[in-house]
Amino acid sequence: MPLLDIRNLTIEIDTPQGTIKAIDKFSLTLAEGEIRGLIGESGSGKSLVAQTIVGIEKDTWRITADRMHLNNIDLLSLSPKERRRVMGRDIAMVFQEPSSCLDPSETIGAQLEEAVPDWAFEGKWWQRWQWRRQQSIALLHRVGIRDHKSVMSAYPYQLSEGVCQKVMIAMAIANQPKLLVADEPTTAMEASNQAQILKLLERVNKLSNTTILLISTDITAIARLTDHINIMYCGQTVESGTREQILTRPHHPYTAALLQMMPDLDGNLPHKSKLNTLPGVIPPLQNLPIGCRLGPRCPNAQKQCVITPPLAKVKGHVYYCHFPLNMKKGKTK
Amino acid sequence: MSNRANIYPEIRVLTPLELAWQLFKNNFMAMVGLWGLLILAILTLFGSWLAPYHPAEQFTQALLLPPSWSEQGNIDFFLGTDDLGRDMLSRLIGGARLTVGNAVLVVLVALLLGGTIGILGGMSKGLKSSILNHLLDTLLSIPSLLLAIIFVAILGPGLFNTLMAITLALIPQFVRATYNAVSDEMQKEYITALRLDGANRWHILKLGVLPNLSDTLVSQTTRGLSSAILDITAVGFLGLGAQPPKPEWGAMLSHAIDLVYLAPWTVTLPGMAIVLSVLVINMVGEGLRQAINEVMS
Amino acid sequence: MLNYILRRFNLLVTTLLVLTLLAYVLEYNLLAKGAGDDFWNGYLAFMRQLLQGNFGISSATGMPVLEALNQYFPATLELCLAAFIISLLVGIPVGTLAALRQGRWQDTLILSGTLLGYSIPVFWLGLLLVMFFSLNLGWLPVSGQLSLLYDIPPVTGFMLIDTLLADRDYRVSAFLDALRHLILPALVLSIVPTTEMIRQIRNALVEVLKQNYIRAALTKGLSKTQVALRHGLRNAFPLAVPTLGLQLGPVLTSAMMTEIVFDWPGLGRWLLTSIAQQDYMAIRGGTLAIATFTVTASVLTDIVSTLIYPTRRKAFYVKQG
Repeated sequence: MPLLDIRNLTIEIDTPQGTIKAIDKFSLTLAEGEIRGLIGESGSGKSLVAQTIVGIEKDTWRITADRMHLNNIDLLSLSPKERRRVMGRDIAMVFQEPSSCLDPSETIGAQLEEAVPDWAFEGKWWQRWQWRRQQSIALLHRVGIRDHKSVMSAYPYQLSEGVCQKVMIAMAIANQPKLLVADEPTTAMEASNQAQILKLLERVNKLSNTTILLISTDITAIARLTDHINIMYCGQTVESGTREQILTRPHHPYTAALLQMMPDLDGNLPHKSKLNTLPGVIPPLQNLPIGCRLGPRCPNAQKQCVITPPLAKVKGHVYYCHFPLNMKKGKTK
Repeated sequence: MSNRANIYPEIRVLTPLELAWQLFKNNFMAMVGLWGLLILAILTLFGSWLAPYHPAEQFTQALLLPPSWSEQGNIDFFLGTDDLGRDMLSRLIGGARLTVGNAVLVVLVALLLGGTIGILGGMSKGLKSSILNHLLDTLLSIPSLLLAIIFVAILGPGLFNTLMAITLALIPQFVRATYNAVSDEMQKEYITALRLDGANRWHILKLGVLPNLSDTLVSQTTRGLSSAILDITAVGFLGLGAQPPKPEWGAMLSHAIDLVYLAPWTVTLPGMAIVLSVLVINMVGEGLRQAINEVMS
Repeated sequence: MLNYILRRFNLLVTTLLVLTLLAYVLEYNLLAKGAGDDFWNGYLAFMRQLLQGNFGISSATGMPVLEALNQYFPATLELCLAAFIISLLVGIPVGTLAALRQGRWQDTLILSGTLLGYSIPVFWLGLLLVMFFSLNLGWLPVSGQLSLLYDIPPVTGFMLIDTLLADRDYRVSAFLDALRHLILPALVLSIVPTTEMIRQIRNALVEVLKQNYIRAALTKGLSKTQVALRHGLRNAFPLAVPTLGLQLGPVLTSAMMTEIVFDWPGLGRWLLTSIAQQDYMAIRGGTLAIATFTVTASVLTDIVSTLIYPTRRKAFYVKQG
């Protein structure tokens, strides 16, 4: 049974230029205990999806979906208040720019203690304060912060981004959520910090069987961690499948381009040669092309591409393309 | 997709000015304020032709007539008359020029002088700007109305002296506002980039700083305008400003205090005039500020 | 930190020095007292006198100016404090409500209300309220600080406290009477800081509610109101409350007008009488007192808010790098 099941999520945003369909029929099914990568360039709508999942959408967004189930609870039928309660219990989120996500006027300790849930408490009420403190320290140890004393009494601006992100993860796992949404948790961090954070997320996944939705712009950085990968472009899913399927046999030209864009640093790259990129730029959201949104930039686009490609599925590998690549001979329709 | 025919709809990007106007137009309060301000401007400029009587004309047969909607009222004197039989409506219209018109003059002068000093100060660094800073802190620590009252006390009562005093009291506020805005702007990265591109001070001022001052200038001007009106009337109310026969609104109020029991409209009407004119200015100012903020962000 | 406090005090001292210089220039030019004297020598003598607490003698009443200040200042302060308390009590909840309902009708209504609050001349509002509550309804006294029936010896100068301290049988009734006298002027005066407070709290909270940590807190399952009260307000306060210190100047001037309307025996009324009587010593003393008070208060609010709120300390952490 899937943990999170989203079908045809569409988000429309009202702007002065008119209504924009920022997310077009996005579907996502997360199984319990997996790490799912959600890859897309900035502006592709990954963060919108993440924010919708955790329920912090803005008032100007119009969200529609055929189905949005979390653990068999129909999120769409709940009132915003109830939905936020359910989400607060079962879903946690880790953001980009962690230092801006911590309340600047409170010590880390106070914020951690706030995140420690009451339901796990056993004992007399006067022990609660002490207990919360111990729990917070334990949480810090779990995310690999040994020096709990100085961190607990520090204000967010006194800590580095890496430590802040660890604290954020500690707060996120305090509630023992079923699903952890990590929205570009390692952007703007040094490589060593990035590795630490990713390793930490992996450990959280292994130890408490927490499902993780890992959102990133960089397929290379997170591919190693993930079981499945979804690729988004301009608010549409273009392809999704297991890591091997995506990395070795991408069916969608965009995925192929993304993989080719990774500079091959093994030395095969001729000096001062151009890196592989798709021609053109990401279209502005006000005038997205109809049909397949990659259309104008796609190297093998044809007339047919002005019609939105239907979902095609081969062995669990889903793609939206009229002219898929890397298909076995004879299987192309 | 809803409209298939239109694959790439042409988008005309509005200039900041057009966008601001668009936002302003959609703001109901701001538009009400703008129309109010327009009426106020007409009354201020052409009041002497529009008023039914001369503000000082006395109708001895019609002393203390209540406004025309009350039972003893007379339609000839729409808003009633005061204790000397002068038509309230004409006096209020005449007062628009004395109160609002003068406030506009005062603010324009303060804007020019204060803005220039503020820009020069903000562009400079070190000792010069530090001295300016301290001097301003001092002047601003004395409330503007008190400063104005003291100036009037020295110069002697009268409308002209009041205006001088209020101008002098307003200038530090304008200097402070522009100074802060300019020096904030000067610290931003794009100014550094401009400087690295070899722009001289004049270029930095014209291309970098001035366009970004509009927000400050607009809000400071409207704020200055409303506080100038309030100050002029306050000084008039204290009997230090425009002297009695002149229909300045504050002076009218102070003259009418004794009539509170007999003729409450002589107190309420000038006050209403003040409130309404300051209100429309504030409404327009608020709308402008919101629009500019929206465009800038 | 110490560095910062020293800098602020440095500013305070310099500002006060400039103030005395201005006051002296006023006297030098107006009274032509020091016409023969050298300007700077005269200034030094003047400063010496000031430091000894000699503010001169009022030419109208023959009373030492310092004594007059002592007598009138507490009454003004009482009025201003009452107004500030009202502004906090009204401004914080109303501003919070507006921010939470940002863009809806409650917000629009409250913002329009503050625009109106900015536009009302204090003296006119005072007159209207007197007309309505005192003359028409007869609920509250028209003017003054205390009914003439009571004789209260001044101790602190604050009438509310003095009535309670006084060794009289009618202590409580005198206190209530003082309170009834205070209500209207304090209400009228509170218009200025309340309007400002509502707007400051609202704008600060709206700004804070856009921050990432609010969104992060929302994902923990708290409701919007809970988050706003728990994390929003504590971050909005340091942005909004220090502006109260800046409000002191406008409030003091409005207090002058209010005192005129309500015949309140405070500094403003005294100063205006002195101006009418061309009593320069008194004008100089009063102005110096008011200006010193405003500067000191604004510097103190600055320091105190920096000490209390860690977020404000961040700024100079960054500066010192």
